[in-house]
Amino acid sequence: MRLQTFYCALLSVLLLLYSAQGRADSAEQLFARFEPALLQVRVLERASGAKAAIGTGFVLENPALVVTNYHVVSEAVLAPEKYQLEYLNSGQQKGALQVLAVDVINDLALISTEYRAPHPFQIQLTKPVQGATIYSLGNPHDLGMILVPGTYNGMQKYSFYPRIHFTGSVNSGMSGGPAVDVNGQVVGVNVASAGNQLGFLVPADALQQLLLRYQQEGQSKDLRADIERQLLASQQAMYSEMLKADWKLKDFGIGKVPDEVVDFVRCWGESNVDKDKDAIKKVTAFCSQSEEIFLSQHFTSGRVEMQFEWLEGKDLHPLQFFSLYEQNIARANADNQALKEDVTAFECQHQVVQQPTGQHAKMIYCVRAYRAYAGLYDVLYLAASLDHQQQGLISHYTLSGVSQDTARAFSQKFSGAVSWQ
Amino acid sequence: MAVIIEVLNKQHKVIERHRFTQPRIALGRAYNNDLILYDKHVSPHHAELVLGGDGRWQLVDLASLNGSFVEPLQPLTQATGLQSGQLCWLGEQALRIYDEHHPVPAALPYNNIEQRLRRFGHPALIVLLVLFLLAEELFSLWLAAPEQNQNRWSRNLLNLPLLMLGLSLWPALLAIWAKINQHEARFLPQLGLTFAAVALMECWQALMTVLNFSLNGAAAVVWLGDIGQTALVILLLTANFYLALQISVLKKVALASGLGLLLSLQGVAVSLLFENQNNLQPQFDNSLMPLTFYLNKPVSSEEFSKDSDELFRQADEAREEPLQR
Repeated sequence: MRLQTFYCALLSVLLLLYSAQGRADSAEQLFARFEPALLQVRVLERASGAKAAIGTGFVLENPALVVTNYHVVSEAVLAPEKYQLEYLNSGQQKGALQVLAVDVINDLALISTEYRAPHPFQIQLTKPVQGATIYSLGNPHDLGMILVPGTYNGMQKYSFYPRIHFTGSVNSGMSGGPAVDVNGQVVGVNVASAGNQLGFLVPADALQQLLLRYQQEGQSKDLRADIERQLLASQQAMYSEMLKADWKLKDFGIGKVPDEVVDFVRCWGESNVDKDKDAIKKVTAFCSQSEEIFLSQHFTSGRVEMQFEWLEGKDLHPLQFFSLYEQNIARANADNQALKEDVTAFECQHQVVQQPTGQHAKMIYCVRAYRAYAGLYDVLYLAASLDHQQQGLISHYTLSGVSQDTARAFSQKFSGAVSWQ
Repeated sequence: MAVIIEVLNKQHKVIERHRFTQPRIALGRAYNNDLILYDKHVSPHHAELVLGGDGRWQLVDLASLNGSFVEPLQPLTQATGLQSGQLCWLGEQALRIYDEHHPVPAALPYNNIEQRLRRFGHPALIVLLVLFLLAEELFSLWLAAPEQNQNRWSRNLLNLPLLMLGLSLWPALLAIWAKINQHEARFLPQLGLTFAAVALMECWQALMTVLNFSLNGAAAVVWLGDIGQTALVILLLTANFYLALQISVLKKVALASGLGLLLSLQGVAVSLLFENQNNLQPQFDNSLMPLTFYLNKPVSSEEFSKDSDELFRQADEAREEPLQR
């Protein structure tokens, strides 16, 4: 009996040891097995031959293509005359790459190569369970391929663009690398980091959709036109969801303003109410869908931002109040990045408007067009109520990458939602 | 026949005028001369004016050290007959000799404009203008800094006298310039004029602010504001030069206009040069005032959204234009 217990204990200790050994082995084995299928993707400037950008790519089994982020290869897509693509594999071999298709909304690019890896990656469309261990692979800061273990923590809740929330470090240079489950199957693509073990991955189904589209349509004839179509479709989808929602309103000083109107719009607020030294009491509410679409190094799009300010200067003469009031609408700007190569200058109108309800406001509306993508605009709106002598309500929004129809529909919905006495 | 001798300074302005009736006039630095000169290059007994038999005055050099000259700067070697009004020099001392029948120009009537401009020097008016400017300055301080921040208020209040002093610099400069040129300084009229012009400019600015809000920041208001300012500057300079400079009216107006335009064009040039760098920032009129100051009719929401549609068309047009690098 005693001997039996002893053997049982020995067996369980051995089993424990074996299983621990097995798990450690799998991460090492995983890396060893898949390292040849990981590539460093390099964007080279043709004139100097120097690296302009680097990222990570991985070879798929079927079809035999390389996947990376669009933002890694954007320069070669937008200015092929100036930049070319090259890969560097684990055997230090180099070779040419060619972009076949892109998805700017999900920041993905499909690339063809002659390189064949012994163990290419497969896609896993079933999502891991919350808390499952996944591994992010990539080449951070050109330091060599590494494996970062981390945790799958579901989908990022407050983004319109689907992203996996990965608890683990995703550093620059790892962009475009795969995130795999314990079996080595791809569940996502590294895309961004918010610092301190907070990483974001593009889910595998977005990659699957791009692959399906590629298999149906073949190599893209005009990547720029594809991007334009994707942007138009994406804004259409995002805003139709926003516009059909029943907007929750909240009391805000002398009026009512929209709150978190859909899941992916988050609101924040602040005020100086407890500070006695300020002559004007100011309450600010700020709502945004702050995830953006990368278009090029200095050009982003896809954000929505709404801002409301309620100002009150009880002890001020109306002239004093208005002289401070107007400073609060002096500096409005687009909230996406763009250079003058990307967008036209803002065209603005500014008028005092009487609303159907009889209220008055100074309204400012500015529009700029995207140079490379027809039918897409950034829009900026500002309104300051004029019906009180010592109080004011400023409502403001900026939309980036919208069509004229979307802008018009949003404007109507917004004007209907914001009200004051 | 009597002779008139004008003693001139280096700029040929008259500093003394003498009339002699005797037929021989001794000129020099010594005290026993009829006309005692004090230029150090003039000899004690330098020259003589002698009435000739033909009734003309003759200049005779008395072997002076530095010599005598007649217009056009010819050295005198012998007794030389002079024309009435002719210039002559003893050393470097210039003299102009007239006979008593030399014609003089007709009397000038009082210059109406000048008389009126001089009335700006009335102390009561100046005090009034100073009070107005101080009030205006206090008003803008009150508008901008409503916080009951004692420090800031007292600092701004201390700056006010400095501001007034700064405004007085320009009239002071004009007065000094006039004085150098041996005219009346006329400091008080210049001061009054300058303060009056600044006060007018402030009023114009206030009017433009209301107009700008009422017309929704129309470009025409900006132009009107600029043109008004320029006109006021030119008017002020013309008045200043009228009192300070002894040149023809046409020249005064031309000088004032040129200077005024230059000053305002400088502002335009700066805005033109730096406009392009800022063009990613939306340019709009942010002026806000209480609704009572809105003299225009507000547009309806429909009109506003129709105008917004127009912006998309304009942006599309701008997109078609080639990019200027």
